[in-house]
Amino acid sequence: MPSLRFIVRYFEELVASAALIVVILSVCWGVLTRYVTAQPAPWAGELAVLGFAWVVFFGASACFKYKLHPSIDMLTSSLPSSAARAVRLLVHALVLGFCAYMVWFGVRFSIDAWDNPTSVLRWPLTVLYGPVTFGFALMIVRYVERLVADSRQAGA
Amino acid sequence: MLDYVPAILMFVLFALDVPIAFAIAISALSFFFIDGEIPLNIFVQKMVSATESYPLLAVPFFVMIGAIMNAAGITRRLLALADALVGHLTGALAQMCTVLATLLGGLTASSSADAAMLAKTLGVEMTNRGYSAAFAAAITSSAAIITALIPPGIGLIIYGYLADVSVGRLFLGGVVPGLLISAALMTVTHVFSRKRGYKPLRASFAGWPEVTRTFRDAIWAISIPVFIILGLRYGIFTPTEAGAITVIYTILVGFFAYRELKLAHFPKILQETVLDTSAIMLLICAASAFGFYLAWERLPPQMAAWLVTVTDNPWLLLLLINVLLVVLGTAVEGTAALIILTPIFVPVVTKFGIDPVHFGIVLVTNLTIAGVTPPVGQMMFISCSVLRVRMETFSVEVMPFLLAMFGVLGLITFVPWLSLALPNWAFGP
Repeated sequence: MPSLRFIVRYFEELVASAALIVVILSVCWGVLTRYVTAQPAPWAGELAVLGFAWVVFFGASACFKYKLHPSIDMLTSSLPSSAARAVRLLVHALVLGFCAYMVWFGVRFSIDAWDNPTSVLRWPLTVLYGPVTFGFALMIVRYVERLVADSRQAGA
Repeated sequence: MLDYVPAILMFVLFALDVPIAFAIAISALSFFFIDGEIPLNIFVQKMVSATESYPLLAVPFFVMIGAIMNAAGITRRLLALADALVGHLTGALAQMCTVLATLLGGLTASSSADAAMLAKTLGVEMTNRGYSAAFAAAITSSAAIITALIPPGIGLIIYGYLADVSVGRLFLGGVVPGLLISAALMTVTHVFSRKRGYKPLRASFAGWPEVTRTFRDAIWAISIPVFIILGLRYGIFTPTEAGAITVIYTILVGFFAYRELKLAHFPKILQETVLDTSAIMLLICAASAFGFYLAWERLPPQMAAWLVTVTDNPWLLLLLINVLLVVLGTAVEGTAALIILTPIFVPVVTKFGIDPVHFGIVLVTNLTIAGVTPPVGQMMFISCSVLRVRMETFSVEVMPFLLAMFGVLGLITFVPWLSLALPNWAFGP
């Protein structure tokens, strides 16, 4: 059994990878049923698309751990250090504020969507908006983690 | 004037080093706040809508295929084939780089992943054998551009989704331009290697028996793009389904035909796939929300109307767009530029009577070349960091390659037949 530490550390990748496997298998199942039984399984396409939201929003949080979200530092790297610091603080506030806003939205959408079923599987649409909520909440966690680690490194 | 605030805000946030996906999303959100009447729910719906797209599912699949290839020893086999084909030429290792990228182009879909692979294998070998490290970085990063054009390519899938163009047509449209770039790079390599005395790996041509043997060894891998194209051509599957089936196929080849793929490889393959996919997809999600703003304010038609006053000649328009993209491409990362610019440009160029498939090939070629133009370029960063080359020296060595590729870009731009002949032949005009 993987340790709790491992699960906490790689939580987003674990969820996103599981979702990715579901996505691949359901698309393949869709093709298979179309050719073998001539009666394509309509739920397969829907499951694949729902799974994709889990891959993307959990994965996007994992990207923060490795600084994989591209940005353009051409201008800020040439600023004097005090100005660069002020800009960095502003950027942190913007990104974190946006994530928080998305979490709040995600929660509202997830609750509202509970009575709103998907077209084939009749699952509540919460399965689509849930990963948005979780994903952006985790992004806040990973972003702050990164900030703490970076400031420790700068202090040491 | 207020109409333009979100667009201006986006560029300001770019300059402030805000992650690009967030810069786009925050600017899009600002539009809803400024307008005040359009329900904010639409913003969230647009953000999620990209993940609800069946065609975009092809992105993770093709990323994953590349990751499996490397673990399954398929890359190594293609390298042996490249060696048998061009190992006797001057500058053999550099020539192998281009040939390998062309062969790999049909299997992998991400130029950055290919740049990393080429630099780590052939690039390092080149420096060991007396090639200048900057030259090695220049050819490995330039060769990776071919990947974007030889099907399948992620850029083409994204463009197909955003411009509502058939991905099958785009895939086929990229073949000839990809081969042209490959020929251009090999020519430049030849001239350089002659001048600098970069040696062949073997005294004479390996001979057809060895070519046949290495080809047969690699046949499982080489057949993949053919299989995908045929499947699309005869409507057996969609690009997305082709991706999913190919994932399973490469896993089977890795396990049973080449016997090199292990279960232990999978955590890394999955992690790589998930990370690469979501970094791109978050950008697309944000761009969908931003696209709603563009459409609501009717900015692309406004731009088209303005451009008509500048020129009514489609060729001049293409030239202008190309120059603009080259300038933009030096500073902005290619995929991000593709995602932002496709919804703006496509309505404009179609109004000028330019075929969107042709334009897609031009756009993707141009923005992939942007990946090696200093000072900002994904493939340049990767090759330079693997081979420990300073950007200044890289910039000098990459110039002849860049000039050759811009030459091909011009050719593709002004001879639409090069991009359209194959798709029109296979799918009908």
